[in-house]
Amino acid sequence: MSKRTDRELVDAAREGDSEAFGTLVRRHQQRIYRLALHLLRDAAEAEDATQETFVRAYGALDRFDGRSEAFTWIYRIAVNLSLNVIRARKPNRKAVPADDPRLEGVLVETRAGSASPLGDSENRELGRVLCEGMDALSDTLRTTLILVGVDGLSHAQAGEVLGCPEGTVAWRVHEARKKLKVFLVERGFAPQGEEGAA
Amino acid sequence: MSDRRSSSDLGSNAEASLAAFPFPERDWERDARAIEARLGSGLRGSTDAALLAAPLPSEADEPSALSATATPLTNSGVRTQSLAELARRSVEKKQATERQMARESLALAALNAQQRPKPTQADALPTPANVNGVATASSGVANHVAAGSAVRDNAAAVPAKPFPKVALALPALALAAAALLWFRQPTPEPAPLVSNEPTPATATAVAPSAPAASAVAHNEPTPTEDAPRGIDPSTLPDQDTPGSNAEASKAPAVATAVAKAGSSKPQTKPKQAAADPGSDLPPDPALRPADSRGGELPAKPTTGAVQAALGSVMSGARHCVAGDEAPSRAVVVFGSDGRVQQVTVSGAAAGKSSASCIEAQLSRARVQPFAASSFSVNATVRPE
Repeated sequence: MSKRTDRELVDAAREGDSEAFGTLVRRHQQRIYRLALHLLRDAAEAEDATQETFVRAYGALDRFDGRSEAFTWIYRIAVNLSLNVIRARKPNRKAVPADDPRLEGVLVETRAGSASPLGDSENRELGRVLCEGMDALSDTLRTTLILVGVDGLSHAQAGEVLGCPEGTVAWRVHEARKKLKVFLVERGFAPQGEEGAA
Repeated sequence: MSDRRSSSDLGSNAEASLAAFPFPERDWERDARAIEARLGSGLRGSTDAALLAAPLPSEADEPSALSATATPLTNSGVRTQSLAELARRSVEKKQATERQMARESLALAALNAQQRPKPTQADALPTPANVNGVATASSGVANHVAAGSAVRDNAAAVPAKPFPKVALALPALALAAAALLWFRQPTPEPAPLVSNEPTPATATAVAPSAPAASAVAHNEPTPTEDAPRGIDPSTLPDQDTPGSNAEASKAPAVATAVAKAGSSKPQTKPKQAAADPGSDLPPDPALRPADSRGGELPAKPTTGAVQAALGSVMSGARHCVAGDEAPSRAVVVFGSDGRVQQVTVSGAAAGKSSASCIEAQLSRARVQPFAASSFSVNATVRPE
């Protein structure tokens, strides 16, 4: 039996096939969680947001008009929910926690893939600075960069999620990367070949 | 482009870290089961429409008109006109200019021909050429119909020239015949440069041609007995914009009426015709765009519509339970005509007089008619 497309799963879920929606959940929950984790910087909130995203998507299945991909439609719900959480936070909640959940992944990954403790340390430091740089961006630039740079969505797909043209996505990604580069250079992470110039 | 890229290049290590940002492993199956446990039929239709809207505001310095197509960007990020738009506008402008020249030549020829017959017969025919003739005779300064027309300037100047009329008419007729032959040749359609879909830029480029068509029609001589033989002005091609046939049929009548009234605003009707976006939609609803006015009822009212309908009557319902400690619940059943068929109250107000009060208040809610036989929604009435 061939793998059902997202569209077919949505159609089946609309007809009451809860198993189809379960397949959709299993197919996309990791990416939604990663998106929420980068936006919220809190593992528990990201878990809640992921769960809530699929519950709300199920509640709005009848309003999915098929003009976009199902997963970009779900992404949009995830972004909206995450932004709601951020807006509802207290103002003093902007600081990155010491145990940034995004860095846990970096640590695990580098331990598995690198033999050099120094390399681990550098990678972890680079990951930490990258996270700080992304956190310094506006919500708009950060979300766009996460969708395109971290999650690998195309500009067209990110445009569907964010409801803006591809050109706007391209401009935002460029702006975000430019600012991120300045942030990295200021902290000693100049790109190769530019160390002397900095 | 390379400058743009290098200015945002993070370096290979950072790029690799960004692209392959790991995240902690979880028990995904457990998470999926937790989500599935929360799903239920009662959830359907409960999601707030705001969650489906575009999520983020624009950046403060974000260019506002960045197109989804491959529109070139200047260094400042401001959108410029695409070459396709420029080419299309250039072709349209050239065609309009050539048509205008041909019509003016014809009008000039017709004027020359009219000057030969008796003046009384010419006065009886309200063609633009005759109007010009009258204007010339009465004031000596042309143009009380539309300012700036070269046709009329030429027409006013013709009687003052000492050349014989025949000598003037012959070149004019030759010019008009050449113009007619040119227009009879099949004009190659400009190839779609980017897309056949009408873009906003194309629409603005085409829009000015509607008044231009009216202005041309205004100058267009009505076929009369005095028109030069062998040249029928009505055979001239008109504007090739959609809906030009309807406009072409209206234009001479409008021009004649305007010539009579001396008004300078003849393009009212064509504008209205061009402004009707539904006039060129395909008749088959299946072929229409999804957002066009299909005329079919929705399967059921949207959540937003239901919320708005209940919201408008909820304050009245809250009055009914003022003083109660606990909220009351109501199941509101809408009929397919959009009216409330039934309200069932439960909770604190159940069995009390306030229940009928709530029923009366919520029964005033209205939604748009829908296709399903009925649609029920739960509402919570909280005390004020």
